Amino acid sequence: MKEIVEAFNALAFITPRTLSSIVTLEELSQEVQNDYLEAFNYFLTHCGKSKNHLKDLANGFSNDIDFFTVTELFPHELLIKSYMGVMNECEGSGIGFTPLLSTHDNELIHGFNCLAKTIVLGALIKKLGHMIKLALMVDHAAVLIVRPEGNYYCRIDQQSFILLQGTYQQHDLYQWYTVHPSDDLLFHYIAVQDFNNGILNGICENFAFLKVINDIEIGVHEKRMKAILQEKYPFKELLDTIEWTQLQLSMFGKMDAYRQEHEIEFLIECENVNEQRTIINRCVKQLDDAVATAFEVCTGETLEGNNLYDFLYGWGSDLKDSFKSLANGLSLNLPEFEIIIPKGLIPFIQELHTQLKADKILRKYFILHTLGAVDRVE
Amino acid sequence: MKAKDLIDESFQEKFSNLSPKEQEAVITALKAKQTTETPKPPGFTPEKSVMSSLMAQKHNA
Repeated sequence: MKEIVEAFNALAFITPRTLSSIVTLEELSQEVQNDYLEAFNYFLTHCGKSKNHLKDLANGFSNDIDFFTVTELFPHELLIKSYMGVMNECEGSGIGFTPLLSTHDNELIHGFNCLAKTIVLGALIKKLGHMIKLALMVDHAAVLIVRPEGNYYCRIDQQSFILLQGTYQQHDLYQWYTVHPSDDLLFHYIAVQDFNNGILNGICENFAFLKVINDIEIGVHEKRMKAILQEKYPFKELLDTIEWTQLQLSMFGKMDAYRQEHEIEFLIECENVNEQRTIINRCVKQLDDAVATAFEVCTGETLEGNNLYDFLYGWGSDLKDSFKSLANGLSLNLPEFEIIIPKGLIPFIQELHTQLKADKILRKYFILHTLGAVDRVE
Repeated sequence: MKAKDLIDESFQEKFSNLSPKEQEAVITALKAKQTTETPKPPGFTPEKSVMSSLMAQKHNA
């Protein structure tokens, strides 16, 4: 216990804790949640909110149905900071999984990843008196609110809830949930765990991964994280000396037994999620390329940057409406002259139309994404 | 709708349509993959949709 508290003091907590004050995992988890709320307050302050905003928020929503309102109000600022940290070439905000890391003075690691957002949201919902669990998917985490009518899956990024309709299989220290088609989740299975222990387990797993990416290169995002670790991360030595996987196994091994007890389902799920994310990521890139090409053909100017399509979509109502008209037209197989768009945008939209027609999957992605039906995270 | 709506058959569906022997071979390959690749833990999830929606909100504001 001493080893893990020391490690959390150096790597996780904004405000280090006295070693003797934490003797159980339950106490450690509580301190972790408190520290996350402190980090969240830090973000709120940077978003121009008062220091009492979090307290006001919690006090203002104390009755039975208020958890529906909490996610509408609270994550917006949180998400902005998370997203601000990954504006450049990265696709995820993976490194911000502890309060210290998320508030670290570096634009890449500044912000919360999904585990951290889950911890903050869970801590807030618990403060409101609700019972919660941790929902663990192959590469994602979420809060479950336990209610008499069933479990609500909190989609933080979409600021919504799903009352889960699938089936649960009870194991010693976890439940294995099989997703129902009406749940409308990307995943097929969820491991449901005790929230307090589950988040500690998740943090250890993130540390284990962070340690490994010192040695292997996985993608653009990880390469950038590796560079930051080497140049600026002051805790690298401690991170490397701890056997995170062993620590995780000894303390939380039984919670993760689903990886053996549901091995085949788990393996297929990993591949399935990986495939889906790869397809979407490829489409995002291809659509940006198509937009840049169409822009260049029409104006002779080069358009550079990431998320070009989303950027243009959000730029103004003419562009947004034109993209929607094009998506509707493509979905109905209308010829391009029947798609109504402002005169000045006709060459650009026509060129984009030509490019989208050439690729079936990209065309489908454009339609679903533009009409608001593709959800990349959950 | 999800990414699976973009393709005719997801990995899950393809797997379900395999014979038991073929399924076994796929599982063996996936087990081997797990030992050579480090899976990303919860938290290292692409979140572009969040960025997109917030970017849109920012521009609309």
